[in-house]
Amino acid sequence: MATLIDANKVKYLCSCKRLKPLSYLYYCKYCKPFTLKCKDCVIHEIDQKFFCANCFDNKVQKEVMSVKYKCASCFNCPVCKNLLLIRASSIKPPKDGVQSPLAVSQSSPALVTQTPNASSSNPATPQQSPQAPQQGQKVFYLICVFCRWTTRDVGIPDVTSAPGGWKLQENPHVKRIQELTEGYKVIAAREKLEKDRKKYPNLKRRSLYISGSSSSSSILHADKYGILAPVQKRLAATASIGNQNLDPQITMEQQFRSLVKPAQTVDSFEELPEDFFANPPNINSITSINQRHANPDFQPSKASELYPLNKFYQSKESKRCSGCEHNVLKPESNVISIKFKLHQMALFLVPEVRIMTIPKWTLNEENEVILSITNRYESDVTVSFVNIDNENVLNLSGFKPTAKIEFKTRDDLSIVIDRQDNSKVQQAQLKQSDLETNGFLCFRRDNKIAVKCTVTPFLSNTEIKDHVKCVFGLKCSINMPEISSPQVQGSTPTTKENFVNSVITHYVFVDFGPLRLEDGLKVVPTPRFIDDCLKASLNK
Amino acid sequence: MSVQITNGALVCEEKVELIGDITIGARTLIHPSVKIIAEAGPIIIGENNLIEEQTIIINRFKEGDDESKMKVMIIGDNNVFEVGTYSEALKVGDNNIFECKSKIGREVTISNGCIIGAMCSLDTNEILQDNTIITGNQRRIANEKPQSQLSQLDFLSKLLTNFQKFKKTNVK
Repeated sequence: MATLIDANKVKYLCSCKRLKPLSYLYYCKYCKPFTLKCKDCVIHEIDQKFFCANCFDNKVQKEVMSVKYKCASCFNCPVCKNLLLIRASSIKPPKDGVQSPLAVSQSSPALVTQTPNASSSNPATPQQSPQAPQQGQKVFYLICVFCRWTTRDVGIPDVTSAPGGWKLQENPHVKRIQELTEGYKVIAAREKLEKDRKKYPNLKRRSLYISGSSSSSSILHADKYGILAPVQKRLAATASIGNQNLDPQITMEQQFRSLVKPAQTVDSFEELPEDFFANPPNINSITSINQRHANPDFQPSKASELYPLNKFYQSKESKRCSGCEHNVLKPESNVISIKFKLHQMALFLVPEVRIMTIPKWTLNEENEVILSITNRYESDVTVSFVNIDNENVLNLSGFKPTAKIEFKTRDDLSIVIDRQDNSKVQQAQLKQSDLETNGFLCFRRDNKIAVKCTVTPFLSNTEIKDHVKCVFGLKCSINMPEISSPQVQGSTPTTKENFVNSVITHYVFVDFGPLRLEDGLKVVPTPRFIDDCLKASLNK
Repeated sequence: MSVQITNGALVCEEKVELIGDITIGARTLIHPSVKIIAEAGPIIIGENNLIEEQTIIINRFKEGDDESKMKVMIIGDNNVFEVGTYSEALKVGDNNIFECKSKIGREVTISNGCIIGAMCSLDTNEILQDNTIITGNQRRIANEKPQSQLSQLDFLSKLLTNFQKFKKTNVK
């Protein structure tokens, strides 16, 4: 499972000169030659469609912005951030003692009923004690199945109607925040208008569609320059805000002051209670920094103030090549689907190198190591190994090789790795040509081969705890269907797919782990299936 | 040195190791492949406990303990030991839940209504407060004790009688 778990052992050189595991790389088939792209050298694009990962409720950006990207019906646990589940329980005949904590929590000013649904079914007011649910009636509350936190812990009353409508905190500063955003919106609009005027001084007189004084000419104007409807709408909106106070006598600052009350200076703070200094803190009742940051509106400091966190809407992300702006990764637009329309992972193109054995290292001597190479491309791939001495490559990304890797074989040896064929089960068996490599190629099954190489660590005594690291070149020749860029494609429709043989040398950086095998690290011996494979091939 | 199983307790026969002086209370259910080992003193298990597979409850000396001093391990009522729990705790109260693969040291005293989360290891010298919940790397105090697992216990005792052989009870 080196692709997923020990991904950092074998790294490839990205086109941006960074070293990344193969599973983190993409490729662009339009760029010539095929280049590997990592997440730092692709353009990220966020889909306009937002969805809640739990209830799959999807919305467009404008709607999501109005609810601050929070899903109204799904919650995360404030303690451990796992999903909260709705649990139903039937209530027993009410006892007098049970009702009192509910009544207290209702009178708290921070709690506000969220849905009208709950208030209509439960007509209790904060002054009255809430109507007791009838015997055997179902009530719902939220529970975290991991840490067993429930909404009852914080005193949120159970809901009797259909799930939803829990009483949550409401930010006491919501009004002020709204006031400020409104104010800044006006200022921003005015700033933009003034900037536009400076840019196009004539626009002031000619831009009738902004002032809106003559509707007929404004339409004419828009038609003349082919302004699209949304742009027109936006311009009109800007104009309407900007026109409110366009008296040049009023500066922007004055206008802002008229809209927004200035902030009050706080002179004195409440002093900390005596207990804070005198008593040792109770770790169980204070929140961790992560728990505080998860709820930035309130930043609760006590565990008893933790309220359910709304789940955030998510969006899918597509990635483009930074060179030619073609998509390298494009998810399907359907929110439930986890598939991709376009999925150019380097894993599907470049043969993957994994470490198969780790010997007991001896310094300055040749150690035999077996590497496996897997081809996940849809056709056969021819590979050959290149010993690298080039200083330029070695100096990349601060990678300091501490060992020399050698492939003791003919220089011109090239090995064909079959494509993956799931339809039939194949026995591990070497081909005739493989046997001629004198044991260099020691295993072959389906789309996987294994080769023997020698690694010579050349560490000095001071670096004895360092890792054994080396670099080699993997020369791949792949038959790719020729792709003309879309612009050309339109003019010359291709009837037949032309295959082009392209040869790319990938630089592979291998980290074999520490030289001294300590702390539970062990020698990884040659697996038995390699011997079996050799025997099977020789018997044939 | 004897194992006393009270009438009504269900102790599976398959791969269950009961070594030493052990008393098992009524309606306690012990699944197959459970080890209860009383090396350093007797173990007394209360009523209505559910002890699931691969649980190890062991009363043994720590390094450096005076081996002539025996200590009694007492486990209260209505506790649940989920799959793979390892417990050396000398005192366990009532209504506790030990989730899968949790590990409790000898010096810990578990009071009532505590939950030790999955894979949590507790090897301190302390008395856990009532209704303590330990999960992941956090701990907190819950308002109420965890839900009763009696229905699960009833269900299992009905179901297991169809498939398992039980050890004979020897105490009324």
